[in-house]
Amino acid sequence: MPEPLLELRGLFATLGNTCILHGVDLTLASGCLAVVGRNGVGKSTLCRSIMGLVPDVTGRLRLAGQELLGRPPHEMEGQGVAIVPQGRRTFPSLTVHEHLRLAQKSKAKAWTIERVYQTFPRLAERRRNRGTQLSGGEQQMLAIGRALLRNPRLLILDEPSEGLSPLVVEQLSALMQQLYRSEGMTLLLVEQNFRVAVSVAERVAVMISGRIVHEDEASSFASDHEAHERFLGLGEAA
Amino acid sequence: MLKLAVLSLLNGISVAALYFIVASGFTVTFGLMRTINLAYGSLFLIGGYVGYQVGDLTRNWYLAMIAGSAIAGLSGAVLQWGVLDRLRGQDMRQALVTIGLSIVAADVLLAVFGGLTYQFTPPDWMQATVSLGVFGGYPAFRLLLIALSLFIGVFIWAGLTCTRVGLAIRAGVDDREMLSAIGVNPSRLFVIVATCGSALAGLAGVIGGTALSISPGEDSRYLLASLVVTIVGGMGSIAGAAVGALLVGLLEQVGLLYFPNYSIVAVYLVMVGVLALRPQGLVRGTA
Ligand SMILES: Nc1ncnc2c1ncn2[C@@H]1O[C@H](COP(=O)(O)OP(=O)(O)O)[C@@H](O)[C@H]1O
Ligand SMILES: [Mg+2]
Repeated sequence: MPEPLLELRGLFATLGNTCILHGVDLTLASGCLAVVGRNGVGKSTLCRSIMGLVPDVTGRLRLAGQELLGRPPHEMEGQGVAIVPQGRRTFPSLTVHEHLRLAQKSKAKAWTIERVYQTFPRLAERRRNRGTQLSGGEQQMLAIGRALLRNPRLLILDEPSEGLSPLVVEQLSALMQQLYRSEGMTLLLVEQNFRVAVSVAERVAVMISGRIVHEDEASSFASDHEAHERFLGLGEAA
Repeated sequence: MLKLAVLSLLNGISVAALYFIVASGFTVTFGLMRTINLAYGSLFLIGGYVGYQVGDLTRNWYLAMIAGSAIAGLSGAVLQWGVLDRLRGQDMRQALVTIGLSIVAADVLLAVFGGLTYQFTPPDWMQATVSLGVFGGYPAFRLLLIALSLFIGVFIWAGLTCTRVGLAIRAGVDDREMLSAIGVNPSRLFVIVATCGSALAGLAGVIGGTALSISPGEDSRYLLASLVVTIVGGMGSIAGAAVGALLVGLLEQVGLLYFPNYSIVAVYLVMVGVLALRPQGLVRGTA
């Protein structure tokens, strides 16, 4: 049996003096897994820990069978992990085009600057604008383009639909599905927007206070009202 | 009188060129990378002294220049990797540690090279005097110095704005974590930048020792000049460093002619004025 792409066992993460992740167990073989949960339960910390952005972590983190816990971000990137962080974090002093030039790995890979511009024509129009002169949606496209240009095996998206218009969210959902269905990328998607999570992902995991407490197929989770109530505090309306 | 004015103008520009070479390395490491290296003047002095020794032994000025830049670049790399990178973001500690190191370096250099004033002998063709018509002659070396500073300025500017290394530096200054997340090792990048910046200080040591001279105390003089040029011109801006260096160099040299007692004061008055009216410096932005 092939090794799963991402395997977390008993992952603990500490920020300052506060323990945020309390033993996360998670397996992501391929496709797309959405992690949902209320604000502040540690979803972003999970994303950042996998990318190597949290120095104080213990437990096991395997990527395609290789133990990589505690590696710095540039080494995780070298192993094929990329992140679209919460809040976009584009570079204020670089223009759109400069972001893409810096991030482009090779012109022979699946994702190139040209392809990012084809996918997000809006970015092509704004190519000379700096990161800070873009709208929220444009910054999100840029952050996604920047991550895609690394041509990762594992793409972590932390609340990519935050602050986007419904139309852009629609396009983004289609793109994410295409990435894991026809391009063989594996996606870890953190979503506040429950609808997006269950419509894009194959599986959904629920996080509460730094642990994964429930995991299910997206289709059955979508109609499991009892689970919504129990884990997310959502009423029947959701 | 006019002749004198023109000559002191040229002196001002050539001193400015020297300040620019020193400060261009400083504006990139301090202004862009926000690393506080108050031992930067020592790198200038180390480059000058070691360059002098090598030049003295080999009778080759070019080798002196290469050796001076190389030893300063190497020292800067060790300093960045061994000390400054570990104290990242801790301004006060970086300042204190590098002040301490610069005091130690000054004493060690004094012990090794003595309190003498050294002056390099450049190749013959650089010692020529270029005729400027009615204004008389002017040393070719100083004109070369001006040309070299222009070349270095254009080189750094193009490197920062056009190359991927330049993009990475600017991105790393904005958000080190995200630069790392797209595959660049920021510590290694900053060591490379510190090496280049320090090599410029060493190069300036040799050039300064040829155009003027070098002796104990020059370290703090050039550190101060770099600080003033960087702050007046605008942190991290190469164009700003050029403007700042011209302002400081001209004030100093033209001031020597017209108000000799106050020319140094004038430099600091300009800095105070700029800080009061335009605290971000005269030129904004990275390039
Ligand atoms: N630098 C920090 N030091 C201490 N606690 C932090 C720090 N940053 C975030 N936290 C806390 O960690 C918890 C988890 O944050 P986060 O991972 O961002 O949650 P989520 O993404 O699920 O909203 C929150 O309760 C937050 O207050
Ligand atoms: Mg979050």
